[in-house]
Amino acid sequence: MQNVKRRDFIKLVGSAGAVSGLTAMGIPTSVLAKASGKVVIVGGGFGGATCATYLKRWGPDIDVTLVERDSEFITCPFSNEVIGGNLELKDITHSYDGLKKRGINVVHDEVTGIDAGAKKVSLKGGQELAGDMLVLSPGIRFIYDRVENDTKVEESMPHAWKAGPQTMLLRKQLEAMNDGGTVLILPPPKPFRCPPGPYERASLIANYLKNNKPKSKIIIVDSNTSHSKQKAFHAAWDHLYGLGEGKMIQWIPENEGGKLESLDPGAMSVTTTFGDTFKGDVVNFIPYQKAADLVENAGLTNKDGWCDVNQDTFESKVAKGVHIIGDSCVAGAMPKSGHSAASQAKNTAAVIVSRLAGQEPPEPTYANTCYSFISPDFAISVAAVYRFQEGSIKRVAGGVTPPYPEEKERFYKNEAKYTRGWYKSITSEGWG
Amino acid sequence: MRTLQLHITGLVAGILALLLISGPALADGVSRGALLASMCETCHGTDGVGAKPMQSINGMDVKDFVDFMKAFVSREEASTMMYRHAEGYTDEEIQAMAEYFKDR
Ligand SMILES: Cc1cc2nc3c(=O)[nH]c(=O)nc-3n(C[C@H](O)[C@H](O)[C@H](O)COP(=O)(O)OP(=O)(O)OC[C@H]3O[C@@H](n4cnc5c(N)ncnc54)[C@H](O)[C@@H]3O)c2cc1C
Repeated sequence: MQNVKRRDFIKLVGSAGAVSGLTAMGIPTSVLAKASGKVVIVGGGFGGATCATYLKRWGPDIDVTLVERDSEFITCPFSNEVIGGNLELKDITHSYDGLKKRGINVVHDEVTGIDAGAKKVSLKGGQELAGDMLVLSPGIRFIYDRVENDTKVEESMPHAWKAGPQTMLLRKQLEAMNDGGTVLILPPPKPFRCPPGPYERASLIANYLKNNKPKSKIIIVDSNTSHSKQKAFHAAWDHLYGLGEGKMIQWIPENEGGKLESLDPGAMSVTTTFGDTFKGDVVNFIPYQKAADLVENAGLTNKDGWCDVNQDTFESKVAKGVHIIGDSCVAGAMPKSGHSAASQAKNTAAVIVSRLAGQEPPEPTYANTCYSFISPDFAISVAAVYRFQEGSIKRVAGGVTPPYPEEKERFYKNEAKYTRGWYKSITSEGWG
Repeated sequence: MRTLQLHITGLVAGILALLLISGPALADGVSRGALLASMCETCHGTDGVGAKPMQSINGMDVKDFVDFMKAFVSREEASTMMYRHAEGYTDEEIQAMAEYFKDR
């Protein structure tokens, strides 16, 4: 808004030479309100950390408190690199010291309740924190009732869909597997966190197997009929690993027998609605997902278990002054990604800073980029720009990497370099 | 009538002066340019300086910035990713981004 205003002023005044100081004119400086107030953010992941950073950047006088359960943040992005054996957990672990240095009060505790009316959260440790506005970015929760016997399989069939011990468990199981073994990847039905995630995982596991256990296979028994960047993934798999029955990667979509009926963690097998049973030496069962427990228990979710927000301000449809961003919210055409969460966080920070300064927020703008490694030297991506139109977020531009070999090998190699650049930039923006 | 006009002009000029002097340090809301630029910053880094091999886009001549963005869309300038982002913005928006990064 500032730029537009400046331009209008220049037009009005004619020339900046006529300018004299505001105070010299005897006009109180309070004409231009400074943004001040208190904001409490819950969740120090991609949405919460980025929002805290931008609130402080754009509104240095705002008192920003971030509440996060864990003492460090382990990113899901690049956790497939850990599973594939190319990185260690410490490489994707970020401390909250960077946020503290930015002047943000970081409180490590679990939020147990939200009083949306009073814009107050209560912590497990007994403390209560109130703000002029709340920002909630608590991520997802897993639903274990979709498939028969799917409860308590986290140890035998790890999901690794929250990064940390689960990531290491899946990695260890792959290391322990004999050459010639079968890895089953079981993606949940949409919508879920990181639509290309299961397929990037298949790629990086295939890369590990190709180099270490080349007789092994991966079968993706999918609860969806199609998947993210499908053509680009399949062309790259065919090129690097082999795709199809009897090849290193096999993909079985929902309509061709991929729909799950039951799991048998004892036998390490899964049976589909077509009556087929697949046995795995390693089984990655990714459960169905909904918005985090916190927002569910606070009554902020819709009948499908996600949070409805006004998609221009990310203010909850059911609680004024409570903004919900990231995986938990319904954000029109935007996928549930860390990049989307960061984009939503910046828009929300702009809304809050403007409102606290008594001004109209700027028109929203959103972007997403999801890179996926096929191998450490070969990546593909999907990118999009979005606008707020007719009440929801619509995609207005973007696209997927052309499937190999439409571009030269080098194109995909460069995408892999940019994937690593993306990770460094987005995480230093978030955690310093 | 004439004095009133002068007064209004003076007031506007005063506000303009304050805006020009204070720059981004004054938290007077968030400009559309800053918000648009923040979309670039996710990859290109805060103030347009980020991790390599992402191109730093700070301090760039406005004309050059605009020229690159247009050439990404027309594919005259080769890119892996930028052609997909650049086509999502209007000329006015690209101009606002360029002006934002010029001063960083
Ligand atoms: C394997 C995998 C790969 C991925 N790769 C990519 C990628 O390459 N690019 C990309 O953009 N995205 C990727 N994603 C998606 C990305 O991880 C999520 O979309 C992103 O983390 C969402 O951000 P968020 O802020 O909504 O939630 P999160 O980042 O999950 O943050 C939520 C935070 O809230 C905290 N929290 C929750 N409840 C409470 C409570 N009650 N009290 C206190 N704290 C609480 C949690 O501890 C957590 O730190 C990937 C995901 C997976 C699973």
